[in-house]
Amino acid sequence: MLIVCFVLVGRWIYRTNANAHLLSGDMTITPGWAIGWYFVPFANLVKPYQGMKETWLASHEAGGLHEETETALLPWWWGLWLVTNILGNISMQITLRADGFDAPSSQAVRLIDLAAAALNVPLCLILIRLMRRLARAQVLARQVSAFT
Amino acid sequence: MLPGLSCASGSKGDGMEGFRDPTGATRAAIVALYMDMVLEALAAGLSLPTRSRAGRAISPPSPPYWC
Repeated sequence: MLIVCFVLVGRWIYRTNANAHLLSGDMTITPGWAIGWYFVPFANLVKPYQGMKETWLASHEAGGLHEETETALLPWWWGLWLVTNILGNISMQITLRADGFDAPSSQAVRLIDLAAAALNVPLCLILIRLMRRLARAQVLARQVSAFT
Repeated sequence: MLPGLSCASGSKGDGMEGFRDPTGATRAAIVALYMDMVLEALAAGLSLPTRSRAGRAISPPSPPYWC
């Protein structure tokens, strides 16, 4: 399911970024790199957020939704994404370093996994809201450009 | 939207030839995210012992009622 999510959300990121390039000349991150940066260590802490923010700004400005260019959705989405990934990494490191069955380690891993799953709920809900608003802005921007 | 005007792809000459309506991709990704959210919550919930099971595990067995 995780792979399906990555593929479908990745396709969405690619498409909206490509559309944003048509809507604005201020885009610096290409559709390919909007995905590619997720796989580059250290840069993946900043660059994917930058790509999404550029897409958001370009789409909302082109759609005439200037009052919606500033949003708390983006930092919340990215913050939760980073925290859940860090928790996942900690859980994996503990599992790999545990020598056989180790009750305290397995209990810690269980709690970390539970915390990550709990944070995954607001993360997904915020991303869904972000996607809906961005798609709406792009459809609106397309209509505006058709009339101008 | 005016009749005949489609936002599925850009019209020729308006510089939007490559534009693709993100609605379908958005819908597909949203369905996947909902499923991921539910499945991950279920998996985390199932891996955690319930309060009664955990309580039984740490408390000594109770003596038979006739003792």
